[in-house]
Amino acid sequence: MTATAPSRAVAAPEDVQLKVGGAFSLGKLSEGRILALAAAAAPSDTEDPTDFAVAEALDVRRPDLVVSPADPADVDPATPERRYSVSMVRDFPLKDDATTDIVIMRGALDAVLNKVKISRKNRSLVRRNADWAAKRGWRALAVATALVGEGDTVGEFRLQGFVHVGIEGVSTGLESTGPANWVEVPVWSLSLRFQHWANVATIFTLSCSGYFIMHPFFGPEAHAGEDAGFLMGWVRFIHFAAAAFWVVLGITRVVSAFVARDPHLRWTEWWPLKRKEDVRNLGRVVQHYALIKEEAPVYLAHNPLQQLTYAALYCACGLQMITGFALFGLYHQGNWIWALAATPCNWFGIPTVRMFHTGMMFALWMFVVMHVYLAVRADSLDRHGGISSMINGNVWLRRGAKPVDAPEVG
Amino acid sequence: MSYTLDGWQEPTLGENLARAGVERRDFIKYCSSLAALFAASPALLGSGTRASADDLDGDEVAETLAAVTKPNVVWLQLQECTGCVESALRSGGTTVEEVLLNLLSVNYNEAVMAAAGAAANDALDKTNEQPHVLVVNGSIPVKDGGIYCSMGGKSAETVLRESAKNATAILAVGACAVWGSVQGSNPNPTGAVGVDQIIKDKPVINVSGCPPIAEVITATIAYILTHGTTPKTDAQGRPLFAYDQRIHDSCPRRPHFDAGQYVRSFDDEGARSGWCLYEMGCKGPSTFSACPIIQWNMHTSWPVGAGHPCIGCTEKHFFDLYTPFYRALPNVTGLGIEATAEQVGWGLLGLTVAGVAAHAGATAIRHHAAKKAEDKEPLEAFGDPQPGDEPAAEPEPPDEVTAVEPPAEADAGEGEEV
Repeated sequence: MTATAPSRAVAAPEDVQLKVGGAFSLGKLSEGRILALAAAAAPSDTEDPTDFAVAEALDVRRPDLVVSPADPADVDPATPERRYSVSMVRDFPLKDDATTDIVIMRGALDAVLNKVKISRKNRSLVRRNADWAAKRGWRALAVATALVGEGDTVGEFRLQGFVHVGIEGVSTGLESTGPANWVEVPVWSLSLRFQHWANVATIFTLSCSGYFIMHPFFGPEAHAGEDAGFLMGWVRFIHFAAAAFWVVLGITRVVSAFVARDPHLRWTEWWPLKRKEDVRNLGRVVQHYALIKEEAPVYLAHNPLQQLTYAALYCACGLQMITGFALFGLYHQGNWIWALAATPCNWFGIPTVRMFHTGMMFALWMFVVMHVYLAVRADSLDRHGGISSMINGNVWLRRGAKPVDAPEVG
Repeated sequence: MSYTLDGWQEPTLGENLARAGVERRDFIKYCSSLAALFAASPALLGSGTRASADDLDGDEVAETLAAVTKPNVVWLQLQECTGCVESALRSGGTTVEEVLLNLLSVNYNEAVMAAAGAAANDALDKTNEQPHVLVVNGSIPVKDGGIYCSMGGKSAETVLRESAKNATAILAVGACAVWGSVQGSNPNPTGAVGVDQIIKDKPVINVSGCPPIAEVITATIAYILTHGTTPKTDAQGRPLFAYDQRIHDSCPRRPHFDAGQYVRSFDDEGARSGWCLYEMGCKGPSTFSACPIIQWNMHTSWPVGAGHPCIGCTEKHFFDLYTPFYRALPNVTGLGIEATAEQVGWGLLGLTVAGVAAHAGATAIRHHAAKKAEDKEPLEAFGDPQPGDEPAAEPEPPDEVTAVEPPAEADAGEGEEV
């Protein structure tokens, strides 16, 4: 890959700068050492922009690794028919200040793969990584090495990895993961994250025990003389205990919605439509989810559709508590509090309340399916770290992004 | 026990009972059970302030009840099946309850009175003019001018209104009189309604059930006679002393429920072992009644005791709300099919998963297409085929690689540090 055929060596226009976006290492070499190998293979009189880009990348990333380019006499340049170069590098620096003579093969991945000894597993792994990089605009510049033995005999070539080469100015999505372009923004307070996971655990417990109460699909078989146990009793105890905890959790959430300092905890988060623009943004978000629009307005916290959904979710959970207490209260009709709690049973009939309570459980499950899917989807498409933010509280946004619900990022 | 009855001849109920041969011992026993039923009600105990009228013990009930002078009773049977009267009269032989009931001077009752035709109507009219206790069996059909049930040329509604006018207490006995029962269920072709939907200016005690337990009927009457007031009722107008507990909570099969031992089909080992009928659709957890405690026919048995799930007959609209009787939850209608809530729930969940999968697939396709559309073709590299190029010949291997033998130390693995 040298400038033997300048008109075809680099097909990019003259004003285009090449860049190197790191390296993929197949074995134990660090990215920096792969770059060093690629840089060392270049002849000292090179005019190839690829060589300059590799040398610059090495200088920026690993200034401690100083390699001298190969003697032009030791370089067998690539040709259109043989798309890799072979360079003899003398006194290549090793880790422990030792040096060695090696032969470096550098060039198109396919061509290099044909010439190296590589296991099938590694061949597939390298191809996958190269394909992935190619989709993002990177060309894989393969680097293979062979040791030089007694009397300048060359051993078998081993593939060490490849270097990402791309065009400056074309976004590839790889360079943007650097801390310079993305900003970590704290969004979710510790109390909200606790609320979330406590709700997950409680709703899971309530669903499992509640499903069993609806339909006790397993239980002891008929055997004489066996301790009957207290299966349904324990399941109901778990259900009622978890329900009590859930109510406390719900009350603290509602209280915090009115006293919290954090805007993401406040009740205004449950009603997104405060301005006309919010309604339009809601429409844009809906179109985005309906795969009609590619881009959706950027929200740091919840978008309007999420806010409405979560408001409905809070109502659904509230109804679940109310109907749960209505059914629980049937046991204590002598007590006016429980008689009051059971009032919905007098309005709709006890079986209707039971069915509503059951149906709401299934509705919550449907929500969970969609919720988990959309969370994973958003995180993988927007790459904002939404899933990790459920634990550490922080999302990642591009510097300069202007969320609708927050100041400019950065 | 058997007693001979000659109707009301002595001034008070006590003297009439003595004349009929009811021993004071039996009477006190009966009254004690009534007192226990009235006063031991957790609803009244739980309220903390026990009403003074409920502090009666058996002797007081006996004294009060014995001193009652000829209470007149009109016992109407409207749109119904007579099952309630059968329940009240055939409560397992001649009991004190029955004697008491007969001595109440039931001046008018279609099933048991001797009079017929104009004489019967006269008896009704005369009793209606005095203060009396009104007991109603059966619903009142109000559709089409009430033509679906009439007596002596009067519609059931007119008969009821006339009898209710001077009534001191009104008892709606049985599911029909309480809310309409089977004929009042969807689609209710005769427009059948309960007593409290017609008589709104007086309190109506709903002794619900299909039929109610005989002892609960007589206890309610005895309560009114002894206390002079109507008993405390729940939200459905049922006397709390008999309807304050769910069947489920005093069911003798309840330990099997708690142990998770359920009858899964009517012929399985669990059914033979007398296990809980919850999985067979027992409505005990949704039904308020004293059935497990009082039972039927002199404490002989009751539905769940006989191995059949409770159908919830003491609850309003049980034919509409508590069906299907053999399933735990109502069916979900309106989807063209009738399915259990569980089936519908799982079905909707499956649809959700399918929808999510479809959306994920569409997202992936669009994402892929967007990536392709963007100008992110890899940098053209040295040696890429150019338009118009001849296919490149198979490249010759370089001399360096083929010419030399690998040295011994070149056996190091891939990725060796160099």
